[in-house]
Amino acid sequence: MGRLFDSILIYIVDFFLCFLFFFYIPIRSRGVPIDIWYLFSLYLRLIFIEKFGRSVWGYPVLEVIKIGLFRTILILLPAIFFATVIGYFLGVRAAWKRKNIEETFSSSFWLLCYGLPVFSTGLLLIIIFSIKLDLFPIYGLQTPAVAYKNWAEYIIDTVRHLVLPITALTLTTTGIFFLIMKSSVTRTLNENFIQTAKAKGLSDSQVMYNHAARASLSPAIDIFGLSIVLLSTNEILIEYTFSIYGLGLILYRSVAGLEYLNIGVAGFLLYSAVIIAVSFLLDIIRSFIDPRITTEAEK
Amino acid sequence: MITKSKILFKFLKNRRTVTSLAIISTYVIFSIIAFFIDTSQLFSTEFFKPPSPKHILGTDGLGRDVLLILIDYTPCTIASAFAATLIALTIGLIIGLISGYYSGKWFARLLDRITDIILSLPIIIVIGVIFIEEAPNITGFILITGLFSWPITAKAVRGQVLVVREKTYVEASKAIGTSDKYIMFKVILPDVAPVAAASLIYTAALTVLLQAGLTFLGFKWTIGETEAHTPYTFTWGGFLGFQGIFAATAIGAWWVIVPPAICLSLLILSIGMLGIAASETLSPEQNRF
Repeated sequence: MGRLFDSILIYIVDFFLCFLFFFYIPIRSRGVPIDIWYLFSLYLRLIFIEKFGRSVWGYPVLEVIKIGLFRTILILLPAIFFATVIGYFLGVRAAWKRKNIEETFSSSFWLLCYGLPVFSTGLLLIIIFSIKLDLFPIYGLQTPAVAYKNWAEYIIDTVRHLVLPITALTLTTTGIFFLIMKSSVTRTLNENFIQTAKAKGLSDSQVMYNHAARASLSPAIDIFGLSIVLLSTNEILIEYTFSIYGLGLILYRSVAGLEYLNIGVAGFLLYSAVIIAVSFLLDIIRSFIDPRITTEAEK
Repeated sequence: MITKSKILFKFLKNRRTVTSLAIISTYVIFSIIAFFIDTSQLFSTEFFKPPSPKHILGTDGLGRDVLLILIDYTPCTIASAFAATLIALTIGLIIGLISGYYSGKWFARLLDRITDIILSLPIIIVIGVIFIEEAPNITGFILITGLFSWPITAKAVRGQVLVVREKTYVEASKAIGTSDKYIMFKVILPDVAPVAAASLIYTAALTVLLQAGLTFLGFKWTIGETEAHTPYTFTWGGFLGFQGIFAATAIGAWWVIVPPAICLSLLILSIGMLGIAASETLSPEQNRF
């Protein structure tokens, strides 16, 4: 209950920050001599009376934002899914066999992926798979000016466009998850119940996934909540690299002067709402996995 | 009795410390060489030439040797990355300590909420706006990226402070009337430092990603009097984000993209590895990585 109240409070502050960053600072810096309170009344009018107005191409902003959110989720969800699965299993394995040459190699590879700026990964993928091998399209979500015969064609085309951005995002995100899981499991392996589980004669994989991995899930989710900021930044950069008109690119275009300010305001409000909702959900999941957390909060 | 020099020796003996110090000292040597490079002589008409004996890493869209440009941009890059990470680490440590130690008081709650608010923003867009409108120069570049990437450290430190606060020796120092400031910085801080050091790999990744991403998105700093006419950022991120990067991609010029990207990755990892090594040295019983 307290957590819900806090989330609403944070969103209210974000509402004012949105006015500051996406309305007041850009307008003031263009040298318009205007009163801040009058500007704020315009801001409220834009949101509550005009329902955010229209975009540069004349579409209602709410529609554009809705499609943008859908596209963002279309990239983000598969990337998070693949990254979680790969990062989880490889991270646990890497923590288990620490001095193995194969594990050292896999660790170095994923660490390098973690460090590479996501847009350079994306550009390299474009060079290899689009320019040299000509397998996947370079940008966007659909081939421009194509009349689809049926739904299957449409879906196949979209999936082909999605492969490269999702791969780039997955590589970086897997690096994050791998790092988190490995450090978390390494800490758990020193605990006594792992020794007990081994002494009972359980197989390696049973100890690994049923005991060590499960016990280290809670701290892992804890750090994952923090690395959402890394993930969302990566996502915005990927949308820019592949010219996918999602929420991040909408925000960027508004700030860079390629769109009106109102679409940036709407995008920001939706974006922060999504992030706040996700961290709220993560908190609930964490308290399911580790019941100690709720008692700590109540205390 | 463990002396400071022994701890330092143990820290230096760590495999990760050696690796990251090797990388960082290479970068420092690069930055010394950078002062002897005359950049105005680098331009030529050999655009996007692949690696060859004459140009070891090829040339970019302005006909410059990629290796020389990389070396030339090193000082700005590592200075801004280290400075921003240090700012983020310091602020995160202090805010985490205060909000954890006074957890339950109104200002600790306020600090927590500020952390949550920063985490809920589309940070790269927001700092892009602030950077380009308020301070499009190197000071702004370092300060703004540093000031927006402390929440990771703050949250990690706060969690550990909540655990350490309940230990008996903290109770004991409270009982003999030690001041809150002394307890925070002399009693709790040594126990919390390993966590802050281990979180450095996330903080460094965030600051460097923000710095590289800002320039990639086209938010660049301007120099001196020629404001808004020569927007350029003399960092590896800026090199990745120059106007012809998409042309380079279309040509298939991987040699323009790979070297700065690998250099940035190694920079992040060397800062992070130093943090992990420090964390391992300070608390060997909690092997973090």
